[in-house]
Amino acid sequence: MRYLVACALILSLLLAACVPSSASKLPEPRIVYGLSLMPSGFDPHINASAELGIPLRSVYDTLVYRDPATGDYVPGLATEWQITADGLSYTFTLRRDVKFHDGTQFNADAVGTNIDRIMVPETGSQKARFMLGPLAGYEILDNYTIRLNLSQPYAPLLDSLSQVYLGIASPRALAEYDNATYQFHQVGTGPYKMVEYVPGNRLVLTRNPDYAWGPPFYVMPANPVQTIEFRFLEDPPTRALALESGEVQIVGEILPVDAQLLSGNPGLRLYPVPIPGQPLQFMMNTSRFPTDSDAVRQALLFATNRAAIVDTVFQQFSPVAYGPLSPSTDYYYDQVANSYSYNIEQAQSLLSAAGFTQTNSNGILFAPTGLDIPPTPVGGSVGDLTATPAAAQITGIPLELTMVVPPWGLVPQVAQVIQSQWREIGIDLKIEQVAGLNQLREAAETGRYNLIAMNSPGRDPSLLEQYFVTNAPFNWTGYSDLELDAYLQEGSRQIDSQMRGALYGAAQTRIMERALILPVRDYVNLNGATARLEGVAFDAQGWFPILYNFGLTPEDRN
Amino acid sequence: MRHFARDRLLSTLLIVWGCVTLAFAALHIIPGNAIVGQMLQGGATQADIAARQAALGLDRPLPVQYVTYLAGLLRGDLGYSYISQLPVSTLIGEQLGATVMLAAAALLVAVALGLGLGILEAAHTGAWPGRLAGTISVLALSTPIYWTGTAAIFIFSSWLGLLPATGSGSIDHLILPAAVLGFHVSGSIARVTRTILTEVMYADYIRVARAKGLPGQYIFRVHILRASLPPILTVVALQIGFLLGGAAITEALFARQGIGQLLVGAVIDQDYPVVLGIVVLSALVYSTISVVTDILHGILDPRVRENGA
Repeated sequence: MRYLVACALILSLLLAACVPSSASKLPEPRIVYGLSLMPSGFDPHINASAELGIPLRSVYDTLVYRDPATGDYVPGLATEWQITADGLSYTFTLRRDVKFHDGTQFNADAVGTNIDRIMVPETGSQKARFMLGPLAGYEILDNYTIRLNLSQPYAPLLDSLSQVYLGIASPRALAEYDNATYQFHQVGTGPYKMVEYVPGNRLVLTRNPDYAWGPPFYVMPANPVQTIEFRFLEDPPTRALALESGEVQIVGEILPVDAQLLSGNPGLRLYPVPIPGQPLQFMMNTSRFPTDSDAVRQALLFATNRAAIVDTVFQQFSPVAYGPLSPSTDYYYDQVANSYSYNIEQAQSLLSAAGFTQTNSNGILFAPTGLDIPPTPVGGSVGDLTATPAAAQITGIPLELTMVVPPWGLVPQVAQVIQSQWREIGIDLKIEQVAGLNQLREAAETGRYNLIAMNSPGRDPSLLEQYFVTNAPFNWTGYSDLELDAYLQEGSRQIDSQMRGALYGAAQTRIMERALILPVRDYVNLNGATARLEGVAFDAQGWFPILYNFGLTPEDRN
Repeated sequence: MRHFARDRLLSTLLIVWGCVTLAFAALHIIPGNAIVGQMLQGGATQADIAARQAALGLDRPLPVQYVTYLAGLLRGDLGYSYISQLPVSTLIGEQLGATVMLAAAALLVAVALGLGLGILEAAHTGAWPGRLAGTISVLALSTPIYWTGTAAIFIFSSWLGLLPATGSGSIDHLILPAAVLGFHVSGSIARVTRTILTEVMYADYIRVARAKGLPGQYIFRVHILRASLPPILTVVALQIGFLLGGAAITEALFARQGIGQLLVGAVIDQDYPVVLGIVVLSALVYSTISVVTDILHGILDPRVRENGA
């Protein structure tokens, strides 16, 4: 036994020695950045995860950028661009002074190679390809001019081109590695170079000293961070602990209760960042009883005390959401704000208008369907007859609802608060928790739910088209309305911004008028960082840090 | 011995085949897979998704896919991840070292602590050291890894600043997770050790030994412990299986790389080739452990040796 123990010890020491220690030769100052999940793939042209953009946003540049403050498009790898009046063709003039990390010259051919890679089906792009919408092809007009041609107008194109999924990779690196292995050897033109990626363990970036072509909001800090090691902190409570103990200098998606505690720590700073897109909401199934009734759906909105949810579950770090888009999204329509404010009387009168007029012995509302007299048993004895009249009772359909929730984002806790709020006025809510996004989608496809949770990040409101158009892949409300379809489809095609504003305003109004969703809270990413970290800022999509601006003040030595 | 080896090899193959078949069936009863999920999220149309599925051979009838998978398995080919497109064997290979290291270190802690607590409890039944050991082992059994892990991070990392809470790579990074996982597993080893020891202690041959006037220490070491080892060994071997499962939670908690993290991610993403690959690996590990345990049984227990010869 003693030998066995000794062998095990030696074995584990040997194994420990095999894992190379972190890149210690890289320049200082160095920080550790905690990511909240471990993406299964790290290639932005192929994979769809939002987490991959946190490091890679700074490895690549994009043709255009969006100013995080104004949302305006500003030059990136393209210095200017012209859009034809029909919205079918975009001509980009490219910078001539840009080199990839491997020394390759950036030019129009490089852009073409990237588009080719994304578009061919063999690449298996899960997101980038669809962000290009109806792209029909491109023409290289000269070494530094490229024209993208569309088969129909597509308003979100510039927003797509400003995102990391359409970052421009070195054609040489793309040729050198295949689709599966490129993710370990990514080469862009951005302010940081990728050093190594060890799955499950770390991803390391180091500053690109030659970088001189950033957008205007890239500001060089006093003590620029030179090396960033990303680690994967998948367990939420661990994130705040790792930050407090100094193992990470910055981490996102801290639990609200932990954020509350951290805000009292002078050595740390909290950065709550609103994420544009669709807030946390429950889509209501209009093709299933009882949420097929407008009155019932409206009653559910009035019956939900969203301020209380934000207080108890999110510690007031998230604002209450009132519509299908959060205020930081383009073309957010502020007239939906404060609609369906908490009002129990209104909820009750709507429910009784919908037929739920009686309350059973458990306090659950039900819609009476008539008198139910138990059948006299066949061949029963005479004595049974006396019991029959007393057993007669009003029967009906109880107000029972099923809600499907994912495990993340504190949605199960939100569901529980709603359950207890609704119970007070006689609504019986059953909560079904699923394991992940795929399982959520599968639950949606069965149609056996009244409410289903979702949220979706994105700055451009065209994402609504995926959820509210009649034949949309995520039309989980089951709602079909030709007018709403037209608003949303036209919204993606109109390039005139005033027209888009009007269309999306009408769409948001319609969605709330018909009470298709129960919005809960605007998504706010709670980032925490050491107070020594300067220049912490995030891009227009909210998720992705502007690592170029990160600086680390030296530690006090007194 | 030759029969033994042949039978064990055959049964190992049967176990792996059974596990793969069950897992394959179970994974295909559930609708959808990683491809559908990821592509829908990215905005793909049904036609795009169907084309991608066809390119990967997922549109073929299930029996064909099953036979193809088994044929690949025989050649040692575990297939490719739907999401990262890397070979499953590469993905597992990258994570295996870290998990083996964690499991080995945790097993060390579990065996040392579990045997110690069990012996203490059996030897001092009713007295305070026995009661204390009993309390600790019940505590180890009944507190979930999430709780002990968070508490350990809070005390040793945040508060005392002695050890890092997250990451992997050095021995320092290994101590807390191994202690937490080992502590949890030590509970059942301690309980079983105590039960077996107490049983043996009241056996007739021990009474005979006492009647012969042998010193208590000697009886305990030579007669009681020796006779109790085989069943304890079986429990320890069973715990190795649990260690692999517990490693998933421990890895998530301490942000360590490893098979557990890979498995949980693959299940949630519905990346079935990766899930199947890990099932194959687990089946192999279980079978190997049971073979090793049987051999050790033979060494420790003369009765088994005689029957087996």
